[in-house]
Amino acid sequence: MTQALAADVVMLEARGVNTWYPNGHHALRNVDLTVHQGEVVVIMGPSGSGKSTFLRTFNGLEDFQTGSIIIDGINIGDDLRQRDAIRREVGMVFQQFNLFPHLTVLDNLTLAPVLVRGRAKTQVERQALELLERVGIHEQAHKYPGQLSGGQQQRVAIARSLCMEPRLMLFDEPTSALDPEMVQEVLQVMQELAAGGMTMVVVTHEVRFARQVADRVVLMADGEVLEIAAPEQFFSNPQHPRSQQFLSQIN
Amino acid sequence: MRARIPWWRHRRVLPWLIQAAAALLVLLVISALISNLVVNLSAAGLLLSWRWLGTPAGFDLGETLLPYGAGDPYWLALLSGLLNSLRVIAAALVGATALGTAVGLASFSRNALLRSLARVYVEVIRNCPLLMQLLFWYFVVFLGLPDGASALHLPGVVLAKSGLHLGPAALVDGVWRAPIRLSLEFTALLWALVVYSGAFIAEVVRGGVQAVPPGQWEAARSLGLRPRDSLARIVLPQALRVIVPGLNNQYIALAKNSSLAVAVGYGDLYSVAETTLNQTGRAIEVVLIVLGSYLLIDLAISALMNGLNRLVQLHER
Ligand SMILES: Nc1ncnc2c1ncn2[C@@H]1O[C@H](COP(=O)(O)OP(=O)(O)O)[C@@H](O)[C@H]1O
Ligand SMILES: [Mg+2]
Repeated sequence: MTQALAADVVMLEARGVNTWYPNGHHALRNVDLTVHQGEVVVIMGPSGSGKSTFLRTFNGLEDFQTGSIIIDGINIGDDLRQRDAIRREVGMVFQQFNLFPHLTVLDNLTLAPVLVRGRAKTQVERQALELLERVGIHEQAHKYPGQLSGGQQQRVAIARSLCMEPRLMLFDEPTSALDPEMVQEVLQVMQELAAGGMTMVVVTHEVRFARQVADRVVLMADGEVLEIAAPEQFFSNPQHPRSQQFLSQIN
Repeated sequence: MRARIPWWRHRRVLPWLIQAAAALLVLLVISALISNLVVNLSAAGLLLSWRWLGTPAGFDLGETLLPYGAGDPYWLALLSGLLNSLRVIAAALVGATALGTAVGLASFSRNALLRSLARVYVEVIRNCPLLMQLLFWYFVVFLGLPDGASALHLPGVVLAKSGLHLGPAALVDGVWRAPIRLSLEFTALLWALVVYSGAFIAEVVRGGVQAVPPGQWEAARSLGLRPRDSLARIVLPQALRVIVPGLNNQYIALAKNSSLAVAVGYGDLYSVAETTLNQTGRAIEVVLIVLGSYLLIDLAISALMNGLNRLVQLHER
């Protein structure tokens, strides 16, 4: 692959995805989304519109019944090897952090690279400490997650994902469980990550983050993608009536 | 200066007084019970005596760890019984833990057949009295085993009507010879205890794993960990905090249940004690010895499990 083409490389391609939950609920209705390498896509929409479901299909945490999803050239199908490969390449940050409470911050970061990628522990530790420094918590490396604030925990969770050197990062409302004064420190880390060229799909209600960092904003409602637009366009001149309604509600 | 607080309203004095009163009450009740016992015993001419412990027991035991014969004193018979109890308890603890953990984890398997097998096993075993199960295993299954050349044999293990033979075994004149021979009674009791306690331990393990938030599985999977690693490195260490206290209960129950040995004629502490009691008539002394022994076993298990508990509860904040 040549440098000139890199900007057009497709990182994620979802086509006609439909998801029904076991109880029959039709959570995703024919959704399409293309994310290019280095792009930041923000997904917005009312609660229950299927944003988490959509995001979680990208790393196989949720199944879908029809359509196709290709990530970094790997098709999410029934092949277990390929599903494992996708999980290695896709990082995920959760609303509730989901750090491993019985492991130190450093061990939270090093566990997967050592176990999954088979890398040498000392080498991973060096990288982990660098990452912790990047997110501003290297002094806490030997503490347990329970000793950290919510904002610190979420930054550790981001660093933990990065330590696997993912090609794509997914964020599911990463600041929704945080006290207001800690939201900024997490968004700051995400903004720096985006500036570094990471491909990101972010579910969030943070309008300022979307305006400043997103390349495109996606609006979902009732399991459908209703509008995809550049942030300036989306926030100043939304096209779909549901977008207008949603924006008037959060402002 | 603050006004003096009356004692019945004092935050620190009041609890102390209540404790002291409770302790006094307990002491009074215990001393009343003991003096009552002594009065009754001396009235019947039955003061506690331990001299009989030194007299020959006159009965044999099928299998012992220490050399023991019918001419040896009662205390050695009782000690042999205790060691037999400890032997079957220790082996059953290990076996039941292994089986229970495997079955408890199988209830989370993606294989539906394995899941239902685990459920059926737990439900059937938990709902039948242990004594019935023990009699079934011993009289129907184990006593029905073939002997000699038609015995069940795997490399290093031979299960025959003559017992369980471990190590390289050979058939000499129709009799199995091996470095270790466990009696059929011991084997049946061990098997029954393992199968029975295993079902309860499986439930403890299942509950512990279920208590770990699903977000932990999801985070582990998202990092690319395979299910086996997620379980071993992330979920089980957290589940242990719930599992270990539950195990303690099951282990103590197992230790007490081992006294059903008498039903299949395995010479454990309880069955030796029963014979001793019948022969000497020293009911109180024998009961005290048996109670004290089981109490000590249970306390030892609890102490061990409390240590383990401190280990798994440690850290994390
Ligand atoms: N495991 C599940 N079983 C059944 N329905 C579910 C499940 N998870 C989510 N849903 C439903 O699917 C819809 C979309 O959920 P979700 O993707 O979590 O929405 P969002 O993240 O946009 O709030 C909601 O109506 C929710 O109730
Ligand atoms: Mg959601």
